[in-house]
Amino acid sequence: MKKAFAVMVIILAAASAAAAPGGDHLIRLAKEDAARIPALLRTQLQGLQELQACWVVRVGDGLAQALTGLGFSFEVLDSNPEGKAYFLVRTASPADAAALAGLGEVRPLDGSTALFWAGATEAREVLPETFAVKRLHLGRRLQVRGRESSVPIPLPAGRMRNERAYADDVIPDLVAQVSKSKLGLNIQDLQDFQTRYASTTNCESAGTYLFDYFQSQGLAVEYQSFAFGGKPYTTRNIVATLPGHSSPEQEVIVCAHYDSTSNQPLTLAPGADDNASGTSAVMETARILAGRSFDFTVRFICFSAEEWGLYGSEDYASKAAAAGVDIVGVLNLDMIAYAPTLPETLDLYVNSTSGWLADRFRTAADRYAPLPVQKIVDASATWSDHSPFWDQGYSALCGIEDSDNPYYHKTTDTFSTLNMDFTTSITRAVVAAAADLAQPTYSVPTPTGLRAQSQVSSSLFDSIKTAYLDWDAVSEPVAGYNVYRTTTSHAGYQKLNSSPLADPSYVDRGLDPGTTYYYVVTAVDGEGRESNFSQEVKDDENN
Amino acid sequence: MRTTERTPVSRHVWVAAATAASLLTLMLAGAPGARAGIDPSPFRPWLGLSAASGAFYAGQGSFRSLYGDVQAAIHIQADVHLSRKIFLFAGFRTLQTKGATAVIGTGIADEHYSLEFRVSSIRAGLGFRLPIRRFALRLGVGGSFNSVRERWLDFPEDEALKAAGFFGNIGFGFELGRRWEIFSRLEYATIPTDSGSALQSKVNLGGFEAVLGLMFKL
Repeated sequence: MKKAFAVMVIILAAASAAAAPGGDHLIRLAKEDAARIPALLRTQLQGLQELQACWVVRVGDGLAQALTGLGFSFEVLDSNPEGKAYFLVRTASPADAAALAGLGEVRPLDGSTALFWAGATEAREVLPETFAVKRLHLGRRLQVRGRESSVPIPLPAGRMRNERAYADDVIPDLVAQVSKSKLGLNIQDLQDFQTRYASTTNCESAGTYLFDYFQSQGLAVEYQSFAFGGKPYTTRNIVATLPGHSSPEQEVIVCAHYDSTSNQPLTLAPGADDNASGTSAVMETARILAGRSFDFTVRFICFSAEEWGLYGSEDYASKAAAAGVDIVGVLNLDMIAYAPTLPETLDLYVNSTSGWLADRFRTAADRYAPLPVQKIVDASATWSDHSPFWDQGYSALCGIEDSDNPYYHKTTDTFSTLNMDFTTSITRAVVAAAADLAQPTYSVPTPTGLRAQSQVSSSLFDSIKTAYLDWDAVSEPVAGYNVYRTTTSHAGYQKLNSSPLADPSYVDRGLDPGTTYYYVVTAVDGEGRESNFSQEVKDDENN
Repeated sequence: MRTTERTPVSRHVWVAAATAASLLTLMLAGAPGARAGIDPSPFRPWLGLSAASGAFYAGQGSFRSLYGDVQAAIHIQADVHLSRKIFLFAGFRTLQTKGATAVIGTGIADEHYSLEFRVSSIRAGLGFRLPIRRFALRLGVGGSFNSVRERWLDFPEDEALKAAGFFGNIGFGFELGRRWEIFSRLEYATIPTDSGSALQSKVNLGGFEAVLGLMFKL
């Protein structure tokens, strides 16, 4: 008791000290150490970046001393960070790390990821083009968590949904429309801008080209301008939208960066593989899906200034999060055309909370457009436009070729080095996965307006949670509704009711209060055909 | 035990202890034998068997919110009187009740689930008995070993645990004849456990109990 009291006093003192003025530090905090820090203190840590095994955290003097006083270990990366420009840099080899050392300050973080800075200078202006970089935003405030539990929570046996007759009708037709020649033409068009280095007018022209392309497909298109770099420069994301039919507030994003770089970035950076290939796949997916109807909104986004440090996607993802945009999943494509031999594997990089998205992609690919896929869970894969979405808590994956491209970030990254069969097979899988996620609109209407609330009932020694669901009755006559539940968002749904429910409501009792449950509902018509899943809701949206 | 739960209990204990001490002082001061200077007759050890029922008021509000303010308990006890004033006792107590779950936080629906609760205790301790004509003041302290079970009737939630506890009581008896004595006492018990729920992080099954019973003297 006395010990607990003493610890509490120290924690409260530390919490007070954390609020005291003083210099700031960037620290590297291992996740196992983060997990041991009391929640009262951990909430005061300003997380800047999550990596696979550690966090980069900004702390004040007081909090740093308090952590030290409590016996928590961390590594100080730098002090007084204000005014400096920090970047996460991928160092593929020890030679890379050695090359960095002479150009600025370098601190190893996690595996092949290092922290780099050279005063306030942009990394792109001092680093060789071979380094992929991500700007570390000092104003970001991510919630520092310990290592997530990897133990899945078992669900009672239930019936998996397997009626996919309508999707099986629609998606193969979409996949069949993927054109190798169109993909090639898109890449060639983008390469013909000579360079798409984000600070150049050529990049601006490429943006205009993409805007016009999406517009010609009948999509609503907009520019999203933002400043980047030290000058600052201005560039634009291109955002094309296919509105959803039944739940337009839910969004599926298919994206790629269209800017490029090379060893002569201002004059010649063809970037055929990096990343005209990914951009072309986004364009082709947009062409095929445009004019079709889906339950959820699909956004086709071409980001700029990725090569400068993911500025475009950072701008988009942070604004989406601030606006509370409900993004189901992000399919980011970056370098999908280099394959010396076939078959070639498509690597899908995800973090722990996006694992379902890779599984869903692979399932769709297996069903409609088979290709070898490798799922890689690595939160340290921060080198492309999926990463800012991870930072904001969204599910995102990065699809990238498995082979190392010897022309990477060189003037020789041209169309002639690409394997368009590989790109075509990937684009087919992307079309299938995007359509699967967005759900082709079906004749049986998808229920909308699903809401969930929960309450905990307790005795002296046990507690259970009860979830109360209700949704808007569909406008057309249906036989009833089915309710599905999962403990992993967007994956592993199991049907709860044995026969269709007549009323648009359901009460799910006997749940574990410590577990978050996710629900979707479907409508069933008189012939037993089932609609698409509704949007997904969490049981504790009222809490 | 949480501090917030302990504060009112401690106050009651102090009041009870002070009252007991005052009564004891008055009784000792006014004891007939001592006042007259007469030697008491030789003591012969005797055994008392008693049965009693109690009205239990739980110390923790969480218990009361689930099962109501007052529950009935049954006591069976044997007293071994080793001297005129000192006795040892051992006995059994059981309490069974039914209740309903409580909703934590903001309620969405007025929905409660049925509960059954039972605690069975083996108790032993040391007592002090001060006869005054046909009355007798009784004080006792002891320990208990408790078997607890709480069951949800609608779900397979079932908690069974064992816990040790302590208790103290004060009361009086009235001789109805040579063999029979009716008695009443007020008791305070604490039965801390390491278990709990979203409603109560650490449950203590103690509280106050008013007991009324009948003793047969052997």
